[in-house]
Amino acid sequence: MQEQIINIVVSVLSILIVPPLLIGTIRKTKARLQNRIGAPLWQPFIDMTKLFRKDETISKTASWAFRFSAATAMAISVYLAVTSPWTAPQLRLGPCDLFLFLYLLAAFRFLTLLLALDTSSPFGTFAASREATLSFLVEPAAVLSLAALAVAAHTSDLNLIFGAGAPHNGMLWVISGSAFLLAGLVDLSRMPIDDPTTHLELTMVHEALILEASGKNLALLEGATWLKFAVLLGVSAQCFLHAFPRLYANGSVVEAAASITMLLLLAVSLGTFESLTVKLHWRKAPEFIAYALTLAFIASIVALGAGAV
Amino acid sequence: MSAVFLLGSLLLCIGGACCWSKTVVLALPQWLALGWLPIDLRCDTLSAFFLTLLGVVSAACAVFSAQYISHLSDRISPRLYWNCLFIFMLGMVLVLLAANAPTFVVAWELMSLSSAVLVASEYQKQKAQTSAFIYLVATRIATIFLTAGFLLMFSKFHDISFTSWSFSSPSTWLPATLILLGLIIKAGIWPFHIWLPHAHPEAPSPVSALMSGIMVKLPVYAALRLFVFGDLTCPWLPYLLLTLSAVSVFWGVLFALNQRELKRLLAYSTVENIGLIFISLSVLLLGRNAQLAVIGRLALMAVLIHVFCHALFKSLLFLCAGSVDFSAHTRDLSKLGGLGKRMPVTFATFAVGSAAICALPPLNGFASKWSIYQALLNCSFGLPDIVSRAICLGLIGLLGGVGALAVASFVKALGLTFLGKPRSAQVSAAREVPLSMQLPQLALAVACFLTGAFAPYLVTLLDPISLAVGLGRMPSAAFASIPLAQVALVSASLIGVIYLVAFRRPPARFETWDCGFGTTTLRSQVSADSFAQPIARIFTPVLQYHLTVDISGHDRRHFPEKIIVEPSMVSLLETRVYGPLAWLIQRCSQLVAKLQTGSIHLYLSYVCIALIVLLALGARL
Repeated sequence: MQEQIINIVVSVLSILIVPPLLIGTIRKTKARLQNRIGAPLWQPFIDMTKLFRKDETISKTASWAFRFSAATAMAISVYLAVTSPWTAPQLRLGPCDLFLFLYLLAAFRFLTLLLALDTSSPFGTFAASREATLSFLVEPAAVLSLAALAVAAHTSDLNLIFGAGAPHNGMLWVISGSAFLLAGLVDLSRMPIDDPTTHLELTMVHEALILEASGKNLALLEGATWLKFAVLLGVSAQCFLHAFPRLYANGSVVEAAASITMLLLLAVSLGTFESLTVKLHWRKAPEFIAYALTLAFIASIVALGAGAV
Repeated sequence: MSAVFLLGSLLLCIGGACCWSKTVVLALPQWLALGWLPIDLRCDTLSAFFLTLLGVVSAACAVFSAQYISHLSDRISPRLYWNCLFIFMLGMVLVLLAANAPTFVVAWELMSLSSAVLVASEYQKQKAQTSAFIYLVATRIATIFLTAGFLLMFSKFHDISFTSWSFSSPSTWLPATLILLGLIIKAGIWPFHIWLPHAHPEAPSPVSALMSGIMVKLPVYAALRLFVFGDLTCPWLPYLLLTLSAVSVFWGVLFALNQRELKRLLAYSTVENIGLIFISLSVLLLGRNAQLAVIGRLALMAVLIHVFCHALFKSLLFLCAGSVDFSAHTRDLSKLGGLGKRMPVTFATFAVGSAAICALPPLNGFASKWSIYQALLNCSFGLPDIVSRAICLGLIGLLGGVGALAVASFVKALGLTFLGKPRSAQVSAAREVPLSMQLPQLALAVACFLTGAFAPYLVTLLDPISLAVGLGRMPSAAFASIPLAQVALVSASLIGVIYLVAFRRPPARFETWDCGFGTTTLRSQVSADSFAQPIARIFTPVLQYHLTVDISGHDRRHFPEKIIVEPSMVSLLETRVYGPLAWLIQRCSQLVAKLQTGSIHLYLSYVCIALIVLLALGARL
């Protein structure tokens, strides 16, 4: 009973604190690399509270789907955050099947695309078609990287795959984790597919989808995206950490510390990566996605070849 | 008329439910068939399942058709519609009850011919005429293959009843291939799917719902009855079926994304879903060949659940498309738009249908897609040889990509029809359909939610089928890892909390930001072609996608006066394969027709030659 309460408290705190902290870390890293002091680490919190206090203006063309999509996207992100194994020790507040995880992300995408098409703004709709194309190109990589782990573990329940009794194949964890991380970068429209700080509407993918949102609506959408970012990054971090099984034998405090450290390390390296790369031309995007797909194929072959291991 | 039909459908449902747990043999008096046809009708759980499904979908179509047909009575004759619909339903019911080959073939033909007449309902239009013709040719070819297979099986077993046929010995594999070929032509598997996008859009919407919802599933029923109940053990036939279905899944959804007409998009999506069902069927056959009951159970569950769920949400989508056609008098995506505010009920139900077909939790589409994934995943670590395991894992990746394309297609269908602003004046005058047309849509949408939440209970009802095939009880306990009812409740409460906390006040409204370009025409929104253009460009060889741009004016570079952009796509199969084939048949027929000169002297000499040849043959023998 006490453990359940601790579980719930920890999960609520991690949902509220970790995603903005990760975004703040990335921005701070980029700022320091550009020789600026940059905004404080907790600036995303301040942005979020500012947006929640502002009033909302919606296009006259928009229907009830506009607000519904934002609310449902946030609900989906929260559900994913409380059930999927993006931190360790696992919260275990509900079963998390691999395909439920992926199709909840697909539902998130469906809703944001509808949001973009709702206002009849050409910017939103072009971004929607770009997002649809990117998701089609990267979805096989995301599915295969996690399905490889499922095949090796003979189950599709993510909590069981990432659980303590999972079979160990260090190389498989690392390759799957990298494939999933690259696929996640494309799905979240981060560099090198799309620069999140750009304001050129004709190249934006994620930013243009939520162009017409304002006030609380925008706060919900931004929060949902940050939470999705934390979950995807967290799952990749867990994949990398599982390559070192000895970490998981030493108790929950060591696991938690290792997860947070890995998350922050990934955030810093993402910030460095974003400072050092340029945004790819749209027609070159499939070449980057091919890296994720190749890693996913390699992971599948390793999982199939390893047999029952 | 529609009340009679509704009554009939409800009787079907009740009849199906009665025959659920035991096999009922219906002994009709033999004089009904005038002694030409040995009628044998039998109803077991498999037939009862399909009959109940047929009853549900046809009840919805019956209620919908009343107002729909009376509105279209100047283009479609109501008497023709109702008569053919009755014969169509009779044909489908007899196919499901048939227990021997001749009854099956007669009922099959009854079903095909009546649906062909229904496709040609608006026979004044040229498009309806060509679509009905293509459909007729396809269905006749399918029947030829079916009959050939049945005749070969009869010559082997000397019995016309299905229960005495067994496909285990290698000599039965040729008739099995012929029968399977006939079935997949009728189901719409690549490369025989070309009739589907012609026939389904041209039929009246309730008929399209019945055709897409039930008629393309009857080949699945026949395959289950003949091959699964008949112990097909052919090693290479499941792989062939798997390849063709995998290509159909991808081809169907790719073409669905690029369509400009609403019902054609839905028809191509049917091709995709039939491919999914046949993938599960191939996995079932593979599992039985490898003697792995776990895989067999999961695959059988996947086949039956997807048949059920697809019938529900596809008929919902077609009925909503019919409502759009009823109100806006067009199905062209480049003329529709903004109907969400004018037709709120149709918008909501179409949104539920689209979410279901994209397999988004917690609707029933996700439960069926998940079962297919589970069957493939169990193959990936359960099958003995590594090549089959690699194929199944590769298929999981393919289905992931196809799912993303399906999301794109249905966001396009939903967004271009119901969201944004109307793209033509006639559409801005559209109003909501009458209540009798809204009710079936609402009922089917609610059914989508309920079948998703109660999927485990529905699966336990299907235990008799799995037990009859020897695979043990259905794995309904596997659904514990996807608690869809819990997902729905948790999400609904979270959404409710968010609405209470954040969305208390109504927002201020203003024009959509136009980047300073000012007022533009209603057509300067996203169009059907532009939404799909990035993906179409990637698949140019498959779609034969070409974009011609023509800029003209005094100073083309700086001050263009006229810009014409024309995307074009051609169906590769129709132009490169079926077109030349049709031309070849026509040329051969023309050459053979030269024999009919009209000269009686020549005809008499033909008779003479034939007589001499036959006498010579008779003397030899």
